[in-house]
Amino acid sequence: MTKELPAELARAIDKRSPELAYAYLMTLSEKERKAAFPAAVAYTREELSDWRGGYEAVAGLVFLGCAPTAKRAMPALNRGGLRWRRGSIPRQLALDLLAARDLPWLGELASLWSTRSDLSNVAEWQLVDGIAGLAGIEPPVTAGFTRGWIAWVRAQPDPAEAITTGPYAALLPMLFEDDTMGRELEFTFHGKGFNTALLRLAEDDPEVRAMLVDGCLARLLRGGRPGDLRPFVALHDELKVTPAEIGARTADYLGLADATLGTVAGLAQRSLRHAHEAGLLETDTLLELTAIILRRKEKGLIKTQITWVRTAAKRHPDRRTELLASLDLPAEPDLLPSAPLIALPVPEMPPPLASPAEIAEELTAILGGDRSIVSLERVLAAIVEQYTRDHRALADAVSPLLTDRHRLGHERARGYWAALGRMLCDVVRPPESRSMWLKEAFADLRADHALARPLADPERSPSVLLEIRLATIERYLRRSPVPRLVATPTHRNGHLDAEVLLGRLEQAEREGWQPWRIDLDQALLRLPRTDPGDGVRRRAERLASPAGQAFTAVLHNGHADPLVTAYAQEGGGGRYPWYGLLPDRRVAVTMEPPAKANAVEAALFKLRRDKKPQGSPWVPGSTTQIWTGALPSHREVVAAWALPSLAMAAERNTGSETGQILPLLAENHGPTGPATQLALVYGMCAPEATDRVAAVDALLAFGSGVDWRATGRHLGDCAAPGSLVLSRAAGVLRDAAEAGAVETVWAICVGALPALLSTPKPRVGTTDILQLAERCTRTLSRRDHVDGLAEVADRGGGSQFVSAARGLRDALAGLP
Amino acid sequence: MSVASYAYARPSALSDGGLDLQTSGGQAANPRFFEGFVTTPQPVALGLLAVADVARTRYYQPTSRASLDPVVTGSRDMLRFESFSGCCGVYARMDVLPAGLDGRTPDHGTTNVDVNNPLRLSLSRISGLDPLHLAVGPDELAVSTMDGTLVERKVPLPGRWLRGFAEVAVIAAGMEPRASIGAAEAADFLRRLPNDRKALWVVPAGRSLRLTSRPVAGAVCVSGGARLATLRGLLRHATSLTVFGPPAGPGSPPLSSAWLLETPTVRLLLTLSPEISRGFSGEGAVLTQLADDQTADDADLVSAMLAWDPVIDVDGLTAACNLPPERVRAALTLLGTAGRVGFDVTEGAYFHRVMPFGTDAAARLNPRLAGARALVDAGAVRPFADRAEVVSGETTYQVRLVDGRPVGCTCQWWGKYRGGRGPCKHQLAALISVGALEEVAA
Repeated sequence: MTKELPAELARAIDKRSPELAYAYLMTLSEKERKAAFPAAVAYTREELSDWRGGYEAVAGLVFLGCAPTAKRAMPALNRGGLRWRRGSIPRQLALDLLAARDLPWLGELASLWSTRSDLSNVAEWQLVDGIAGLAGIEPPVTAGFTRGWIAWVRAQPDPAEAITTGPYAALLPMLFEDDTMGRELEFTFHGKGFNTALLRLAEDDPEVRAMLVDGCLARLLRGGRPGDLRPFVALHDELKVTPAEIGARTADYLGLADATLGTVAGLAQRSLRHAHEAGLLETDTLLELTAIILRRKEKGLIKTQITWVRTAAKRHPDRRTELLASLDLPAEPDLLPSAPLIALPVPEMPPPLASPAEIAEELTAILGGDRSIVSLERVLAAIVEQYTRDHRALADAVSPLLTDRHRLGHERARGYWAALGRMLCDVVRPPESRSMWLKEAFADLRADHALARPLADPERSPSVLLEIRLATIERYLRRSPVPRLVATPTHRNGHLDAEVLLGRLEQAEREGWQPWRIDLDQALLRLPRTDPGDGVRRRAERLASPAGQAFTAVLHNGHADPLVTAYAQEGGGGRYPWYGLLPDRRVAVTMEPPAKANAVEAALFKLRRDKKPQGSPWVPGSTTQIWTGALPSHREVVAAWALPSLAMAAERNTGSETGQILPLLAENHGPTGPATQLALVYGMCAPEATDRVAAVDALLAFGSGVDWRATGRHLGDCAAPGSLVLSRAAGVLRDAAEAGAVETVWAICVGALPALLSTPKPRVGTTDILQLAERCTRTLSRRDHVDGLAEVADRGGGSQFVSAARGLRDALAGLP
Repeated sequence: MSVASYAYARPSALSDGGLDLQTSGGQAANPRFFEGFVTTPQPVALGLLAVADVARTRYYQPTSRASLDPVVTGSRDMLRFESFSGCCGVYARMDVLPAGLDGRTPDHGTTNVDVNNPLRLSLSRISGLDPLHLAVGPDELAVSTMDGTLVERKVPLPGRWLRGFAEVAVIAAGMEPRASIGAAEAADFLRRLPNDRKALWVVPAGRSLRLTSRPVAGAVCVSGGARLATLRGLLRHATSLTVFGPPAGPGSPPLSSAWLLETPTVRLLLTLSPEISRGFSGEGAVLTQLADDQTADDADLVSAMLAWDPVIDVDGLTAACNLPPERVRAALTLLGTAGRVGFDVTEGAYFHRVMPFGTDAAARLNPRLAGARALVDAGAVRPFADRAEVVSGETTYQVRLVDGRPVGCTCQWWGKYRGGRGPCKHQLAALISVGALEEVAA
């Protein structure tokens, strides 16, 4: 049972007065103080958790004054607000109290305190320092204590003086031991920081200087996160390490040249060059360093190394051959044009869902994030079929999923997601009373054209088809149900075999029901562009229903395609609706629907012409699959809808997932035109590495399905004014060429070069395109003419740009 | 959470006399494993540095925490150094092959080895081609003349670390080699690997590897290219890079992968988890191996027969235990989940290694299994003919049963992973209540 807290002490705590507490505690005997400790801890429990604070000073003082052992004092000092505000404990009172108590465990307290906590608060550090001093021990060498000491030195009026006072020299090695101590070094306060004091100390004391240099190198060799290492690179530069010191540590610098961080390797290269110029570096070491640097990816370092070795070769004629031989970069591997990629057949859809339990599981997967058309289409087909078979079982299986409000029916849900929620709720609802039926009969009159309202939405996208289909299911499933949907695809990319659709329509005719209008439209859009064969055509002609006749018409005439034209939009310094800056120039496309288009085609095959670049909402990767699944035989149309998002990402260097649509487009059918070419161009310049990998996949998979010269012209057109980053596209093209699409890459490069060469100053990346074009030309042995190449090649100078142009001109002319 | 206590006789050090690695734990307090020479000091030093670097790094939500020391196993003719990253997403192992060791055969056993900061510095400075003297463990004389430089450390040993080690063994057993490229191409590939956190796939293309955004048959998943950075150090001595992965196809979710660098004397293997945010501990591969009493008994018999072979010979064990090969293999898998054997993906075989801290409880401590048992104890499971209804919290989940075994559940976790991470706790609860699941006796 804890004893009651003495009344005086309680009063002192209530008044938040450390002086009163101090005065009272000094009057007690040691035994009484220790006895009061548990009560004090219990008494202050609530006060310390109060966020308004104010009790920390007095509580801390009381704990220090009453604690029986160090091990019990520390947890008490860690309670509530005391953990962060120990600096408010009045230092002199605390030290006097501890001195009066004459305790044997003060040293233990000091080391526990400095091990467990981060003493960056100067007042707290001074308190711990005082305790250590009282105990007569050396300052504890821990990371926390060192941090506090650095903060204290920085806070002094004269840091250079302060750094030398006191027995803290043993803390200096700790700067390099702890992994995150570097962040303390990078903070300078009005030019009078810890760093400057440290450097002054190094000037005066050669031992300290040696320790600093060694410590810097050791910490950099150990590696770690870039933010932790950069302060040491800065410290090394400020120390102005002399060539003699570098010469004594060449092995360390060689190790640094291989570091992961480029700045560290640059530091090693600079320092070793410094030593070499002073004559203190062996040629063998230089050769070793060259081998390491040439393996790196930083072009700046490689260039510096090459210049350095060339100068060294002039200066040391006896080792000349060896030095120049070390510069031989491994030759770029020969590009091997591979056989055209055999297009893997698109995998088929998995078998349909058979029972309500399976529907429930698939729905859970959809709610968990799997929005692919495989799951969505299977669920829709199964719901429609199961509804007519056994409505009760379906409702029982699905209703547990709808109780979780977060997953469906969210107020901010838009588009097809909201439609999905409404449809599921409607499926589960029990039959209504007669009055509800009447109300709904009247509602029907207005509602049919409400179904088509999303088609007129200015913010529509191809996922509107899914939305309307879900709304149709919601509206008609109870009133005029059909046994099955006809638009369920047979392949995972959305295609629907003509023969399978024919079978479904024949079944409809036999059983005497009409498929829903939007369902049929989607099914016809999903037909592939391959010839179904005469057998199918003959059977189709025997169909008498309107649905059958529409099907026959599509089989005869093929799919209707819109007219797509590219045009330039001017930003003119304006802003997006959310205040981002518009780009100066963007190339976009406009679509005109064909003549005699039905409602869906008229809505989705039309893209208006805007004078200014348009912003685009975030298009998640799952939505791109829904788009390609809705229009699998019109890849140009899908590309046109995806274009604003791709363009915005490429111009603004923001991430987007839309780039993943490009390989899907390659799998689909349909003619390609300006929209696909521009989509590829923007995909090649995407900021995210995964999007660029998807662009490489698309370049390989499209094969000869795209006009590559036109794509190159668009690339040059967009990259020449500077709104797109050309070096990213150069990387993508190089990867595609090395993977085997040499023809494609050659055509794109040759198409892009006229525009790129006509800029007054070449864009970054033009040299890479020229070199890549040369490699492709030599592999394919093509002869061609590129406008503007001869003028650039005839320019004088030894710059890489001009020599690359010369190389390409020679290759195109057939010269070696 | 248990605590790993290390008590080394001295800090490890590299001096003129050679590399002196201190050990703690296992069969004795400071066992001695090896004394002799390594024929190629630089690759061994770089490999050891790579393993130690993985041990102290967290690749996801990087915060500095106390890290666990690497573990060394002496097999009949090689030394294996293993470690696990702080985020439980990367497993690193370096094998010093018989060609690299010159001295008495290593003793058998597994112990922790101390790698401290001054040792890291000295290891990165090693140069030269002369054989280096290596001593793993202090000799009797040194132990008896300890001069008080004892290094003692207590590090919290999270359960996920132990479970991760168990999962890696099972996951690695499902991997096969998919591609092998030379050193120059490997350097090029690793240099160009983007640091992206998303999952990318790698397919062999000509003499090198190519990145692709969608999986195809034979592709290997790599998520978080930065996790492969520890391979860079050993690249200049490597002769080849081999990539291993489980079977993949179109539509596969992200999968684990293993990357092997080979030099004539040293092999360095990194096994990566499917995504940078997923550690191995949550993969659930162990849960799919939960077995009946017979396998547990077989496992006891087989473990008594193991003799610290670097590669466990299944045929030999079959003859020695008088059991059919499938039961021996099932027993080895169970032992792997208990931390008593490890799986070497390069040889495609298990090796005997007993973790120097208790992994026996790893299977029993699995949170999913504990949750399932709690559900059964609370009477929340109602089995029917073709399904079981499990009430968890406020929702009722339906577990679909086919032939008495669960194949699907309506919980959100299952909807997201669909079996890629083992059964969910509702399915486990259904299994337990149906009586098909016995306790794992490790």
